[in-house]
Amino acid sequence: MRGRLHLSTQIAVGIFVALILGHLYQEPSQEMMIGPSATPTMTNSSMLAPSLPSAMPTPSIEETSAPPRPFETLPGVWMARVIAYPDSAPEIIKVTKLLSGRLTVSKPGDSYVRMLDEGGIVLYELTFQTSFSLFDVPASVDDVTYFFIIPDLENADWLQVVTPQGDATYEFPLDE
Amino acid sequence: MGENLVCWLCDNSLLMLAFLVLGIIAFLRWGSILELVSLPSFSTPTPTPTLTPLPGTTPTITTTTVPTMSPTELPTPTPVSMPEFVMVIVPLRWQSGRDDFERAAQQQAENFIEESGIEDYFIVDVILLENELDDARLDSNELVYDLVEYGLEQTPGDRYIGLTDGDIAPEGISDVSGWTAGGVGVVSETSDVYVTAHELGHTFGLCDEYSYREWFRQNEEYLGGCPNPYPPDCPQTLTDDVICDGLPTVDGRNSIMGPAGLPGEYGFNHASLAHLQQIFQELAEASVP
Repeated sequence: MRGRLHLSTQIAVGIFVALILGHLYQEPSQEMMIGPSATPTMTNSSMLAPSLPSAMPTPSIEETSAPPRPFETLPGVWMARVIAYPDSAPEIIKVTKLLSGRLTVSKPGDSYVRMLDEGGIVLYELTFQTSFSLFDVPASVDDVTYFFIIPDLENADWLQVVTPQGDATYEFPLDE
Repeated sequence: MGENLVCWLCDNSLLMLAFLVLGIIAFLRWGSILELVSLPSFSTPTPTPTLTPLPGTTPTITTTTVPTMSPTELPTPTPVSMPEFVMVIVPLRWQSGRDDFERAAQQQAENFIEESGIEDYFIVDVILLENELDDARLDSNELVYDLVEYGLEQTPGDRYIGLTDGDIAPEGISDVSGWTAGGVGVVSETSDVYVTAHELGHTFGLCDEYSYREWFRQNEEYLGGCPNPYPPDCPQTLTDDVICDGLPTVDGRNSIMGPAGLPGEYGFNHASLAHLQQIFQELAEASVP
């Protein structure tokens, strides 16, 4: 019995050990909380702005540059002319570099415009809704044309347009 | 020595316990302080891209800013820093003089700006292009696309409006006074001063109220359906004809999403206005870093 500590001492030592363990546990969890806050806010709940896919690795603060934003005139953008069809895959008709432009903002839907790097990772994504009709014209049409202004991203190698009917891709020229 | 220490601990355990409780409180408070101090540094926005002015790229363009409008009736929160919304107006087969074009363009733009309340969320710039779209065919159902491509190549904008004092006749249908497709461009006749507001309403997701067929189709197409309802007292007949005047505004004016040519003034009705203001709010928020 002489070697055994008093009950209150045991409680005190227990609390002390618990505190040390708690402190050690709290440090990594704080880092996990802070990480996502540091990422750019391109992924947002409104879905009206371009959003990065969740599969994309979260960049660290040092690696992150400001994402291109809508309603700003940006120097050096791409203009893509795309035809969507109700019963077949879309076509990318024309892709042109413009000196300046304002990023397309569209009503969200089940179709996508994506910019991919050489490994297929999505660098930029815009969701849109296809509508195969002309508003205020009482006639049906076989296709509808869309224009998209997208940013000039350094690592983007491919443009991909996806509709429920299929997809089309375009390879950006190397020297643009 | 060890025995003395144990005895000292036994004798002073309550005191130690008190110190430990104080330590716990201090630790928890310190953790909170750390969190408060560290979070702002991580939420500081990274530098925005340099927006280089592009002098001389569009030398033939004159810029006209629409005069400040009176505030709309519905009170809305004003963002601290408002983004810019650019409307580009292009003459299409314009036969009258330049002054007439500028006057008509400004009237069409003002009607949308004033009735939609967009200026509560955006600083609106209206740009009138000097040069026409070459070889514009008013009877072509590609007219909107040609307009948008031409406009995008001329000057950056968020919406492109082709305006004509001629007769738009897509698919040979000459009683059309305006139409839109693709979400960015609209073409309008000046015969009705609210045509552009109607077409721009479509580009922000509003549906037609003059035809049950059109409303029904748009309601099926849109995710979540039409934000503005088809008037319940109008016939639900699937015909191309204009069969409904639309739901009037709160103050009894004609609905902009209804048919053109009704006697009296027009405005966006309550459902249309609520939708537009929600969209403007979301778009404005999406543009803030």
